[in-house]
Order: sequence, then structure tokens, then C-alpha cells
Amino acid sequence: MKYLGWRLLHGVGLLALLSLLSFMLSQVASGDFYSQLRNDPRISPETVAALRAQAGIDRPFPIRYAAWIVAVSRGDFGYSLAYHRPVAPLLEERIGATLILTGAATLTTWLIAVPLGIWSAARRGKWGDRVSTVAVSLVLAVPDLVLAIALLVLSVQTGWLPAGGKISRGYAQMGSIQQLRDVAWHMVLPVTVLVAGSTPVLIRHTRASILEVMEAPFAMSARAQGIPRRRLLYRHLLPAALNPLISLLGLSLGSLLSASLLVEIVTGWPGLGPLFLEAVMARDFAVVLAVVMLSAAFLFIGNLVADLLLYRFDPRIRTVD
Amino acid sequence: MMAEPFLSVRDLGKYFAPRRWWRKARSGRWAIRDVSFELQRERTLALVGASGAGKSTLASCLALFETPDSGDVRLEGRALRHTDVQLIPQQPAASFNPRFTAGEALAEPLVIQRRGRRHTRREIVERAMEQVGLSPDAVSKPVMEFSGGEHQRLAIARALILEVKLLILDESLSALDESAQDQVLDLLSDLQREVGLTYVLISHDLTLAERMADEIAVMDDGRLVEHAPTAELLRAPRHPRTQELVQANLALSEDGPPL
Repeated sequence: MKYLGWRLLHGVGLLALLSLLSFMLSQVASGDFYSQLRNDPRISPETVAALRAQAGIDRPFPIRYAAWIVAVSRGDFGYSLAYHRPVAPLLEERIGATLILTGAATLTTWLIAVPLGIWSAARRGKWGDRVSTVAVSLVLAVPDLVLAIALLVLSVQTGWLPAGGKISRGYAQMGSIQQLRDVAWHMVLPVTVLVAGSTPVLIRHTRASILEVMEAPFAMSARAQGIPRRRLLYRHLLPAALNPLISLLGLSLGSLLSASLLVEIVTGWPGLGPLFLEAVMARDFAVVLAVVMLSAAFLFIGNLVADLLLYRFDPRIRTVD
Repeated sequence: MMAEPFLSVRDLGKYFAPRRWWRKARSGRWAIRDVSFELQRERTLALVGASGAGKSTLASCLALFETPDSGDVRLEGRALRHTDVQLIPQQPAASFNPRFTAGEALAEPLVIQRRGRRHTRREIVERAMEQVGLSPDAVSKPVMEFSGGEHQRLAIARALILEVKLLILDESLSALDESAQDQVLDLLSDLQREVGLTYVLISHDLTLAERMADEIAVMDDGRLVEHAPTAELLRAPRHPRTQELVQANLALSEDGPPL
């Protein structure tokens, strides 16, 4: 538990450092939200200056950073100049949409990849393993965005799937079950793209880590006692192969907020992705910083969860502690 | 009347071929070939030979780690089974699942062979630990926390749990220092008398073979080239390879150990 305390402290320090860095980078970026107004001859420089003063972005850097940190630690991520709304509620909606998408994709990925990896390892060198290895390489070689665009083209041409977005027209008039079905229907395409992107890697890792422990001396001696395959797999091989998979799980939990940014933009899913892109383009830095900080916090939490799981499942880590 | 041999190995061969994914490669090698010998109950046979002579492959075949490509191994006239033989490996620590406690590791063979119930298993495990000179209080200690010599004992206990009659000791004592080696040797000879065990000792160390074995078999290039009672083989080695080994051993013991 002392370890947990240290990890938390470490994480907070890391986030603070990251915030400073990203805040500085946002300053280095040329211009601010009001830069474009200067090009408009109808707006006088005085008006722009007044707007900047009102938004508080004319103050010196350390003061603004300090003010921002204080606000963030109170859970206030500032005010979006583009949306004329506080950032927090704005993010809330978008985070929900993103999490539904990445959550479904992550779950599907793990449900497909782990059994397939085990199955592949169990029949290494045989027919099924070779076919799956080749298939995995092929899927791995296709870039996510190309796949997304290809699927979009396909859905537009055939009308099998909605071409992007999250809800159909007339969503508000639907019953709640219909609404659910409608969203699920819209999710199929982006989830497929996300799953195609992450499944091959996970299959390979699962297969490799199972194969590695298959050759371990303790697996050999279990075999010499006449152990049935099933018991060997579940009692010896899987627990021993679990560690790298747990680390990967941490990573996939950690990237729940950030994994789908590009896919969201391409498929028009109203999650964090499009919001982030717009905010960057508009130099709406309060939003940009909030998204960066939240993603980082997620990554940290994901890794922390992985560490705790490792601690729970590997007695060796506990004895070292 | 000639007694039926306890262990009889006939024309045993193991072929290794590099695997190609489209077919079996033609160029392979017999790691052991035409190995035949017999061994009586409660005797100890030492298999000696240079590295690469096929000792370990033979051990793997005897312990059913590998399936031989020719010949067969029979115990008391029937085919060898997992419950007849266990191997004590060179590095016993690695042969235990690092997540297990001593109790779990020793009970695992019982579970695998579906013997006993939960509480009787515990008794069997504790008895086996006592037999090899470990405290039964250590059942709940993780395997990783035992010392090298204790791992050796644990491995022996695990083999005893299945009540096997044949133990293959694959360089099992080579990694131990002398005093630990002596202790394990004493333990093994006690067990041989008490439980009625038969040992096949794989070793490159003729001194160890001399101390422990009733008979010695010499391997060279996958074949068994000489097999005789220990004293006889050491006194009058016949095969050139045996003579080399005996010479080397003499030179070593006359000069004392290196260093």
C-alpha cells in the first residue's frame, strides 16, 4: 500500500509536468483564438485587444498558468471561447460518446483476440495457426484510416450501414429501445475499424506469451506427470502468460480516451476526436489542454490498474515487495 | 531361473529433424540409436558419456518427455506409463511452477492422476516432505523461497508422491556443492532401501557414478558402447571411449580438483 501511495504521488507529479509542458507548447503556437479577427477589417484592433483582455489571455504566462492549475485542481477546466460554454460540461457529453465507442471496441478486441491467440498457440505450426497468422498479418498491414474510408464508401454505396455519425434523423421521436438500437447500428462501423486495428497485435502477444511458457521446464514436468491439455493450459500456462497481457490491458484501458480520435474524425462520431481537432484548429486552448490532461490521466490510471492487477495475480511480485 | 528384468530397454532410437513448414526435412540425426539394456529392481545404473553423446535424450525418452522413434521401454514386462517414472531435472527450481506453494506443487501430480481427496492429499504431501527431510510446516511456503538443495528434495518428494518405482536423475546432483550433494546422495540411498526405488543416473562425472551406481553404461555418439558392473568397468574398461573417460577421471583425481 505504501507502493500505491508512491505511485499516486508519482502520477500527480507526472501530470503536473505534462500540464506545464503542454501549456508552454500552447503558448509557443502562433496566435490565439482572436488572431483571425485581426484580419477582419470591420473589427478594430482595439476591439480585439478588449476581447483578449476579457478572456484573460493577455496576462503574462506564469500568472495564467497558475490560475489555470488552481482552477483545474478544483475541477474547473476553464471556458471554451469557441463554444461560449465552460469546458467541463462540453467534455462530459463528448467523453460519454467516446467511451461508448472505445469501450465496445476494447471489449470486442479482448473477447476475440485472447481466445484466438490461445487457440493459435495450442496448435502451433498446424494448419489453423498458419492461416490465422497470415490473416493477422494482413489485417495488421491495413492502416485504420484506409479501412475506415473503405468501409464508409461501402456503406454509402450499399446502404448496409449508416455512413458516419452517431444518430439518425428523427432520433428524438424514437422510443428508448429504438434509440439504443440506432446508436448501436451507428457504432458498428467505427468499432469494426478500431477492433481491426488492435486485435492483430493482441492476438500475436497472446500467442507469443503462451508459446513462451509452453517451453518452460515446469510445463515439461507437468506434462511428464501426464497432465491433460486443458488443465495444463488453464492451471499452468495461462497464469504464467498473464503478465504481459495485463500490461497490455493497462495500455488499452489507458488509451480509452485517445485511441479513437482519428477514427472518430473520419467517421463523424461526435466524441472527443472532432472536438479536439476543432479546438486545435481554432486555438481554443482551454479545450485542447483539458483533452490532453484527461487523456494523460487515463493513461496513468490504466497503467496503475495494470500494476495492481499484476500485484494481485503474481505472487512473486508480492514477495519482492 | 532368470528373473524378469525390472526395466528393459530395447532398440531405443530418437530422431531429430529440423522442422520445415511445408514438409519434414530429410536431413535429420539420430540422437540415440539402438540403445538396449536391462536393469534389475533397486539397482542404480549410471549413464555416462561426453556431452552430445545422447544421455539427456535417453533420459527424456525414459521419463516420457519425448516419444522414441524406434524401439520401446518396458517396465515389469509392460509399456512404461507416466505413473511409473519421474525425472529429477538438473535445475529442479525451474521445474516448479513459480506461482505454487510447496504443497500445491506436490499435490499437483495427485490432482492430475485423480488420486485422493482434498484432505488425504494434504496428508500424502506432508508425509512425502518428511520422507525427503523437509519440514511439513513448509507446505504453504512458496516454491520460490526454497534453497537449491531444498528444491532438489522437493523434486524428489514430488516424484515419490506418485509412488513411482523408477527415478531418472538427469545430472541432478551436478549443480549442488559437495556437502549438499552428499546429503542428497544419502537421502537417495536411504530411499532406495526404504521405498524400493530403481535409479538411472545421468552424469558426466565418473566419480559420482562410482559412488552411487551398481553398474555403469557408457554412451558415445548416441549408442551404448559398454555396460558393466561399476568395479569391473573401472578396473578393466574395454571400449576406447570408456578408457578415455576412466583415464581422464584418474588424471583428475590424482592431480586433485582444478583450482
